[in-house]
Amino acid sequence: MAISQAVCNSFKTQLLQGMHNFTVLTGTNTVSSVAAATGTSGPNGTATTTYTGTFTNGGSNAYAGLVLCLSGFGTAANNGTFLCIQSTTTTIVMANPNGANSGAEGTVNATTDVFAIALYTSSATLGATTTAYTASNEAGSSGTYVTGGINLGNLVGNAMALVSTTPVLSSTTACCLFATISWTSATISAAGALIYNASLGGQPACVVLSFGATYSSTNGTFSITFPAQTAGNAIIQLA
Amino acid sequence: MADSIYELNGTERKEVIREKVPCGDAVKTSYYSESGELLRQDVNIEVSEEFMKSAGFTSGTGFGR
Repeated sequence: MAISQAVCNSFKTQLLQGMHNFTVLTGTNTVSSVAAATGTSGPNGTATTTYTGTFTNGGSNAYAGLVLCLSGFGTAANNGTFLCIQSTTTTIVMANPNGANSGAEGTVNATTDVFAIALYTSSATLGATTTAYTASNEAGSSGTYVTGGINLGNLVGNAMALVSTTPVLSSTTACCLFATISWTSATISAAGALIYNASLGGQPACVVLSFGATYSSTNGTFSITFPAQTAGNAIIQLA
Repeated sequence: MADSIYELNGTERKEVIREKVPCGDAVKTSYYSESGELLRQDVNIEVSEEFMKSAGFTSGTGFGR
């Protein structure tokens, strides 16, 4: 029984397979009109659809390369998950070959995954070969900590989700960041933690944290803070 | 050995202990009554660059540091 610190082996492979998305769209992202698709359709086509509206952080092609989910539009062809080709603060050009200028307007979201964290006792066995969340030897529910917090986006508790920040470049290193997570009014004993992707089937493992020993909160706050989103510091980084 | 001890309201005592752990630092803050009874204990795990070092990555891997 041991908790060994690691970026999980399976997670590294899955990153190259595009399975995990840390992107978060911030600011206002609303659509006021859709222009009918233009360009060549069919195989190797270049047809795109331009959605006009307010995209406060979309300037200078900031959304280009992101996969965005467009939903709730009155015309079905305007809905779907598409690659963003270009963006400004007022338009996004999507690789949607069938967009139409009709129907009610919908919403725009990044296809972001929900990442969660679970705490474990010293009896747990976790390490580089851990492939998924497990309830075995997870710390018991206490205060706002809820065992088995998230599965496929369904929150059992509401305090397990990590708030991700869109990855950024720090010099030549891509870096992730999670916000501090705290469980209050909690009596918890934990020797380690597992960060996993709660949006995917099987809840694949990402990172194992080892505390080296058991740390216990008593009617208090158990919290985890994460390092800066900079090269050499970030919790997950690609150099 | 506590890193710092504070007297609160002349009765309660606050004790802060910071320890190095594999993933960074652990800060344990304990609150005791005048009689020495533990009233509350907070734990904050501060994950740092120590995480990547102990996770076994080097600059040659192209992942981590």
